[in-house]
Amino acid sequence: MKELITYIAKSLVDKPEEVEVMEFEGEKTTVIELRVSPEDLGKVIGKQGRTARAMRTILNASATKIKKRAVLEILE
Amino acid sequence: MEWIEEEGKTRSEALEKALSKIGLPEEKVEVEVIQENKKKFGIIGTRRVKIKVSYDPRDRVVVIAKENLEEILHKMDLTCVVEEAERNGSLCLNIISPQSALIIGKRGETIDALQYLMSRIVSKKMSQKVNVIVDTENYREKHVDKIEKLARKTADEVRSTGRAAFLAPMNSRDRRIVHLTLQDDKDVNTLSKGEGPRRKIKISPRAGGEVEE
Repeated sequence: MKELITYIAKSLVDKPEEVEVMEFEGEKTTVIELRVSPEDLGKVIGKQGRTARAMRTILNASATKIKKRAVLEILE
Repeated sequence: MEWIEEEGKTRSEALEKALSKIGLPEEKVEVEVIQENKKKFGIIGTRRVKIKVSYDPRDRVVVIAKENLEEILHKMDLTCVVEEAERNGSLCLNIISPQSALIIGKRGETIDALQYLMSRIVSKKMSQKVNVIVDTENYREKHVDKIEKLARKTADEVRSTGRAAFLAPMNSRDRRIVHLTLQDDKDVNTLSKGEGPRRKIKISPRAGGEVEE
């Protein structure tokens, strides 16, 4: 799931080299932390958070498949 | 046709650089050598070949979109094949997969998310706005049918009861379908109310109905 978010985030930003993704795996829930360059923050969040919501939806579909829950945190 | 110029020590090196930049296979481009500097003084002097690579930008959209969608689905651990087609002048990517229910998601939210992200990614790579349709098992067409049926059924209820009814919140695309379906209906009016993701349609009786906002 880390690779999924890394790939999507890198495709959306201007500075892919500054994309950092961490994965913290819990028993039921996995937390994915995404960090991008400050100028790219808007690109991964989108208008009214639409891009962030789309990434969370895809992440959830991917997690559901392995019967887990996943949370995406975008860090400033 | 669009084109880029590239240099290299040899023609094939320059071509390789150009192809990796535009992401197209060799058979989709036309190559023309514009400048060829041979070694002039024995071993001294560099050999440079300059080439012009021309391509159809539509080919690039297809290749980029397909590659990115396949990669995302692959990283979601889904077994699938992506086929391209043209639909209403836009590129349509059709996903063929035994896991299509998961790809569509609850009320189509996953396939809509994929479609939205694909449009963003392809627009970014092409440096211009590109709309991409993502579909699986004819979901888009079936969904339009479903919304049209819901609109007509609700309009019938409003007609028989004489009282206004609200539809569940919908995105702008779906609301548009409802407005278009009922625009020629002489008995009812449609009006969108609410903001953002909670915006929904009110269907009210036309005669003696409330004043339009």
